[in-house]
Amino acid sequence: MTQMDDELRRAFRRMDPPRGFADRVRARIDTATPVSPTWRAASRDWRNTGWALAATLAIVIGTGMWYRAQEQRRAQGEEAKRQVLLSLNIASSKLRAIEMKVNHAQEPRQ
Amino acid sequence: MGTALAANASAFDTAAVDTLDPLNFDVLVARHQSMVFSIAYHYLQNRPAAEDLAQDVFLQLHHHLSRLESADHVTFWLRRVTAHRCIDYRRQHRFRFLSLDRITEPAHEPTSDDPLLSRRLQALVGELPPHARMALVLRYQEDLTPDEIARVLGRPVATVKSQLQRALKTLRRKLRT
Repeated sequence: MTQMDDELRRAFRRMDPPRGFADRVRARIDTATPVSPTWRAASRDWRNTGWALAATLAIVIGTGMWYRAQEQRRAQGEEAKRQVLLSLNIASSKLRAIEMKVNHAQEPRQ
Repeated sequence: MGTALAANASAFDTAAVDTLDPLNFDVLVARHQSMVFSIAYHYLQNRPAAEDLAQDVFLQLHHHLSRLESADHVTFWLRRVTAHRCIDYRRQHRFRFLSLDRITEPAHEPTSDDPLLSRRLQALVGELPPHARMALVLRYQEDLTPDEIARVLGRPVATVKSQLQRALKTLRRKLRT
């Protein structure tokens, strides 16, 4: 056994609790039915579960809203692209018709 | 009543405790109050907190008394519950405790031939990680073997042994500086 062991044993010698300790324990038992640690733990668990559910719900709703906004933006983009392509098609066919007319007008008459 | 119980605690033989009748709850408090309070005090290093925690442990004992089978079982159960409550309590109050640790308590009873060294050791133990600190308290206050400490804390024996070795090494190093 080392000197350190002896010193630690001295430092951690048992000591009496403050006077009236047993009375106070008895008084707590007599005056109130304390909430058992199991119940305390259970209620703490429920609180924690509540917070976890709320956080999960917030995340799910937030993600849903973000996804919906993204979808709307994507749909709008698709629509705009479709309209641009359509207008390009129209413009192209008009140009082709005009070109044909011009070519036809320039042909020498026989 | 408490003083009387404490004074008469040694008068109760083990057989009286072995019956584990709820009526003998007062006997159990008288027999084990110093063990429970000391574990809590040496771990938390705060007298009011240690008393509150010790009271809670005995209240819990009152609820569980019918499920305990022998005097040894009661002792084991009390050490286990006290140890776990201490670790939980410290985790929950770690920031508040930083300032209270260094307060000199007028009511503190000198327990060593060299009170200064004991105080220094207790303060250094207070800086150790939670499980290592509890392992040291159980080792040197309760004189438990590493196997018994492992059972109380619900941890592997090898872990407890290495925690004790590391803790002692740290204490030696810090005492030298």
